[in-house]
Amino acid sequence: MSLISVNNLTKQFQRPIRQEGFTGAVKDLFHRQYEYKTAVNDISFQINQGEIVGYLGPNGAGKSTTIKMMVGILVPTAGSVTVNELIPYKNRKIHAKNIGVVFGQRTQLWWDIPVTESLLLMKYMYKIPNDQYRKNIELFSDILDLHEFKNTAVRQLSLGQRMRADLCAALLHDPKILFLDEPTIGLDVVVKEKIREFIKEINKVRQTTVVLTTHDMDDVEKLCSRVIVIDHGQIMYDGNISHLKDKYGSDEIITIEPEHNHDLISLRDKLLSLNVMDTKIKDLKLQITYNKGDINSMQILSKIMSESSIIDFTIQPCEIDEVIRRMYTENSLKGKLKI
Amino acid sequence: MKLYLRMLGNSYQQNIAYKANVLMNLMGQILGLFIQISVWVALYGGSQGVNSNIGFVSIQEMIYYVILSTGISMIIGNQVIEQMDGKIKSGIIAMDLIKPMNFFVNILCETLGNNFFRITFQLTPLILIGFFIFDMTIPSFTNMMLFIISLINSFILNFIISFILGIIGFWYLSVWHFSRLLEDVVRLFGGIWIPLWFFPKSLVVVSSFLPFQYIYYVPINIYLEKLSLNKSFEMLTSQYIWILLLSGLTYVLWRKGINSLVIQGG
Ligand SMILES: Nc1ncnc2c1ncn2[C@@H]1O[C@H](COP(=O)(O)OP(=O)(O)OP(=O)(O)O)[C@@H](O)[C@H]1O
Ligand SMILES: [Mg+2]
Repeated sequence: MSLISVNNLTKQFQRPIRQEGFTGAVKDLFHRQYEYKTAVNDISFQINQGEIVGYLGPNGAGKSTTIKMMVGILVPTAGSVTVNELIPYKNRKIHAKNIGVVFGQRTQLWWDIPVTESLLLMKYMYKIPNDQYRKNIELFSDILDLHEFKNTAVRQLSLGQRMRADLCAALLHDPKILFLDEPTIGLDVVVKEKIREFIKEINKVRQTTVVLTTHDMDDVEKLCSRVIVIDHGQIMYDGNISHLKDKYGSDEIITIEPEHNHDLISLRDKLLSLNVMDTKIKDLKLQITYNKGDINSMQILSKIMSESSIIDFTIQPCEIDEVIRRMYTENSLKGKLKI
Repeated sequence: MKLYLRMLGNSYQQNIAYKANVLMNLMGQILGLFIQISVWVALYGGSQGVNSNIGFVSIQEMIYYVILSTGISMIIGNQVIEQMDGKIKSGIIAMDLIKPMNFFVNILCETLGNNFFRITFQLTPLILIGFFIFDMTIPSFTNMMLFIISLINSFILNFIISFILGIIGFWYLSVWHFSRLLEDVVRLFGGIWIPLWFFPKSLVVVSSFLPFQYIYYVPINIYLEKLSLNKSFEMLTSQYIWILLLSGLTYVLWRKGINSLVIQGG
C-alpha cells in the first residue's frame, strides 16, 4: 500500500457574506448568509515511500489546503486521506510523530526562547532518545549552518535563519514523511541551495518521503522526481517532469544582441519568413520563440548572422516554470471559454 | 513531565523579556487597590461596620476583602481567551496542533508559568502592603489550609471556564468580546468588587446556581473565617462538582470544535 493515499478529497470553505452598513450588520447577526468556496475538488493521488513530490499550482489553487488535510489539522468535507495507514485528523497525536512539517510562513519554534532551547523542547515533546538527538543536532547544524545563531531568540532571527532552524526542528525525530509548504519563500539563493541540498540528503540517506509546495521552479527541477499540478482545486497533471515538458512545451527562446541597434527591426522582419512562433524586441535585444519540432537554433542563428553581425546571443531552453505557466494560462482560458 | 516543566519555565522566562509590562501592570493593580479601599472607606462613612446578609462586616474586613480579591486575581487570573483568540485568528494554532502534545496541557503550562511569574513579582509587593500598611492577619491553620485548597480549585475553575470560551472561537472566529463579558460576569457574580454579602436576596440566589462565586467569593470568605467548617467543606465540594461538570463540557466541546476548526492563512 502507498504511504500517502488521497482519494476523492474535497474541502469546501464556508464564508459569511457581510452585508453593508448598520442594518446589514444587524441582519447578519440574526440571519447569516454564507458563500461556499471549494478549495480542493475531488482529487486523488498516491505517494510512495522515498518519493519527493512537488505539489504545484498558482496562488489559491488549493495546495496549502491539501497539505493541511494531510497533516491532520483540517477535516475534509468529503473523500479521504490516509497517511501511513492512519487517518490524520482522527489520530492527530500519533500521526504527528510520523511526520515533520514546515510551513514557510510561520514557525513552530517558541518565539521568545533561544533556538537550542526550542530544539530541546522538541526532544522532550517527541521523546527523542539522547543519542539520536545528539547525532541529528550535530549533523543538521553542520549542513544547515545553525551554529552562528543557535543561542539567539527565534524572534530575533532573520527569515532564512528561522527557516533553517524550523527545518532542523521538523526532522529531529526522524519522521517518515516531511511536509513542506513553501520552504524557500523569501530566501536568498545561497540559503535556498542549502535547504535543497539538505532535503535531498535526508531523502537519500533516510528514505524520507517529501511533499513540498513551492513557486520556485528551481526547487522543482533540483528536487522533485515527480510533480502534481493543481489548479482551481483539481489535478491538472501528475507525473515526472520530463514528460511534463514533452507534453506541454518544447519551446525555446533565443535572445540576440545585434551590433547595430538599427538592425533590430529589419532582422525581425527577415525572421518572419522562418517558421518561428514569436519575435519580440526588448531592451535593444531580439527575442525569438520557436518550437524545437519546427526549426532548430542553428537554422535561426545562421539566418541572422548572414544578415547582420551580432555581439552576443543566449539560448534559453524550455524552463519548467514556462511550461507550468502555460498550463495555468491554458487552463484559465479553458475556464473562461466554458463560461 | 520534563516537557511540561520546561514549557512552564520558558513561559516564566518569557515574562522576564517583557519586564516593563509587568511593572506597569503592578502599578495599575496597586493603584486600583487604593482606589477601591478609599471608596469603601467613604461608603462606610466613619461607622465601624454595617449589617449584611451574613451579619456584621467591619471596615477592616472590607479592606481585607479588597486586598484578598486583588491578590487572588494575581494568582488565578489568566489570558487564556486572548491567547486562544490570537492563535485561532492568526492560524498559529496550526503550529500547536502539528505537535504530539495536548493543547489543553500546553495552554495550562503557559498559564502556570505566567502566574508563577506574577506571584513572585506582583503578589509579593501586595502581601507586603497588606501586612505592613493594613495590618492584615493570617487565619487559623485550618482555615489557611482550606483557603489554599479552595484557591487551587478557583484557579482550575477559572482556567476551565476561560478555555471553554476560547474553544467557542473554533466556530466564531472572534471571541475577545466574550472575554470582556466573562470578566464582567465574574466581577459581578464572583463578588470581586462588591461582596455577595451586600447583594439583594434575588442576586444571591442567582449566583448560587452559577460557578462564578466559587472563584473569588468562596476563598475570601474562608480566609476571613466567615464560613463554618461544615459550610466550608460544602463549598469545596461545590467547587469540585463544578470542575467536574465543566471539564466534561470542555472535553465535548473540544472534540466537536477541533473538527470544525478552520485553520486560517496559507
Ligand atoms: N480559511 C479559509 N476560509 C475560506 N476560504 C479559504 C480559507 N483558506 C483558504 N481559502 C480559499 O481556498 C482556496 C485555496 O487556498 P490555499 O491556501 O489552499 O491556496 P494555495 O494553493 O496554498 O495558494 P498559495 O500559492 O497562494 O499559497 C483559495 O481560493 C482561498 O481563498
Ligand atoms: Mg499556500
